[in-house]
Amino acid sequence: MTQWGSQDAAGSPMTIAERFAVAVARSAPDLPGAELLPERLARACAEVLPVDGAGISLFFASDRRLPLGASDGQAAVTERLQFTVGEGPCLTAHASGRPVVAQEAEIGSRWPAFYDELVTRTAVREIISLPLVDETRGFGALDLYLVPPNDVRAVTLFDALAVASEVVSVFSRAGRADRDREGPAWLDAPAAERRSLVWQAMGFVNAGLEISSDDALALLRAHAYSGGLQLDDLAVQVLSRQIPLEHLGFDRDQTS
Amino acid sequence: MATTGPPAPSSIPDPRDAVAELARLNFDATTMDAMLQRIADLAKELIPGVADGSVTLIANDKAQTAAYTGQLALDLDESQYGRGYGPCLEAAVGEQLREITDARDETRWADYARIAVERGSLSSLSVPLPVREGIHGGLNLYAVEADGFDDDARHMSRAFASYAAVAVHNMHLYESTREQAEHLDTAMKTRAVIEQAKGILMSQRRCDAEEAFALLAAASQRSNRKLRDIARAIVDGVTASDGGRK
Repeated sequence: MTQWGSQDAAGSPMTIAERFAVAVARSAPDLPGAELLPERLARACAEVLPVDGAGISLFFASDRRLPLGASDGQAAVTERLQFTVGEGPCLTAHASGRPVVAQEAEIGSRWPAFYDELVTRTAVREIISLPLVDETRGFGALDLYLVPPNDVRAVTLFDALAVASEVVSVFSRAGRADRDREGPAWLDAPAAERRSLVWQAMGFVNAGLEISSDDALALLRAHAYSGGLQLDDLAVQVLSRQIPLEHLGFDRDQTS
Repeated sequence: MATTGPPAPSSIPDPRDAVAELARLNFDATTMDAMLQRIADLAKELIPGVADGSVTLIANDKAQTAAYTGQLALDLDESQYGRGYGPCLEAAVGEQLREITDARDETRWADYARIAVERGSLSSLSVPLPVREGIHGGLNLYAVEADGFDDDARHMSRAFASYAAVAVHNMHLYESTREQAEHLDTAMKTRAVIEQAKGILMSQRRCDAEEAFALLAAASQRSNRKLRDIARAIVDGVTASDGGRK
C-alpha cells in the first residue's frame, strides 16, 4: 500500500505533497460524498506521514470546535476527549498559531486532565498538532496521533507542515466551489453532525436551567468529565432526557 | 522628442521605490479601494510630469474609475466612458500603452481630445494594468503641458503599472480568501445557533429535534424572516434573560 505511488511514472521520488494528492485521489471511490472529503484528507495524512492516526477540526466562536474527519476510530475518540476536557495540544496549537509537538511526559504535565483520559481510553501517547492557517487567519488544526513504538521524532516537521498546507488548499478549493450554498459541503461531515448535538444540548440546558451558553457548555463539560463520559455522548443522553437536568444542576452546586 | 517637456528630475525615481511602498501596504489592514487609491497617488508622486492620475477598471463591459488623485483625471476618464472610446479604454482593453502627446493635434480621438484641451490637459499616458482574467485595468496619467512624458516617464509608468498589477492581483486573492473565511465562519455559527435554538425549543416545548426544527421553519415562514434569524432571536432571548447572572 505505501509502496504504491511513492514514485512517479518517470521513476523519480514524489514529494510529500504529491504523495498526499495521490492518497486523497485514491480514496475517492471508497468515500465518494463531498461531506466525506475531510475523512479522506485525514486518512491521507495518516497514510503519507509516519503516524498512527490523524484528525482535522475547525474552530469557531471562542472554544467551539468542530471535528470534520478522522482517519480511524481512535483518532476520532482522541478528538472528542480533548473537546470534553476543553484542553489539549490541538487547542493550544490553535490558540498560539504554532505547531505543538508533545511527547507523553509533556502531555501529562501540560494537560493533565486530557492526559488521564488519553491513557485510560486510547493507545495514543504522543501528539503533533499543526494549526491550519490560510492567508487571513488560523481556522483549525490537524492532529497527528502516535502509538508506541512510533514516536514524534520519526516525523519530520517540514513534511507535516507541507501536509497541513495541502489540507488547507484542498479545503480552500472545495470551499470556493460551494460559495453559494449555506457553507461548503464538507461542513456536513458526519463527525460535525454528531457535534451539532452538543450545541443542541447547550440550548436544552440554556432553557432548562436558565443559564448562559458559556455556563451551559461548562456545566456539560464538567458533568461529562466527572462521569467519565464523552461530551458528545452526554449530549445525546441529556437530549433524550436519560439524564435529568436537575442532575446536572446538582453537580454544578456540588462542584462550585 | 520631448523638448518642451518638464525639466528632467535631478534624480530619476526608481520604480522599485514604488514597489516597496506597495509592499508596505498590509493586506490585513487595507481594502482594494485603498490599495487602488495608493496606486494612483504613488503614480502621481513618482512619475515625472503627472498632474493627476487614476485607475480604470472594466468588468462586464462596464468601465469605472476606481481611484483618482483629482477632478481632472476623473472628468477625463468619465468623458471617455460616456463616449465608449478613448485612450484609457483602449489601453485597458487592448493591453497596450496609449499616449496623447498633444491633444490639440490629436486625430484618433478628436472629440475626446477637444474636451481634454478644454479641461487643461494637453498630454496623457494610459498604461495597461492587467489585473486578472475578466477584469481589464488601466492606469491613466494626465499632464498639463503637451509632451508631458519623456522616455523615462514612459518606462517608469510601464514598470510601475506591472508592479501595481501584481499588488492588485494579490489583494484580490487575499480578499477572496477573506470572503471565503467569513463565509465559512458564518456557516458554522449559523448551524450551531440553529441547533442551540432547537435544543431550547425541545426543553421548553418538550418536543424532539424534528418537531423543534418544524417549529422554527413554521415561525420563519409565518414571519417571513430567515430561519437563522429566528434561531438567533430565540437563543438571545433565553441567554439574555439571565444576562448578568454568572
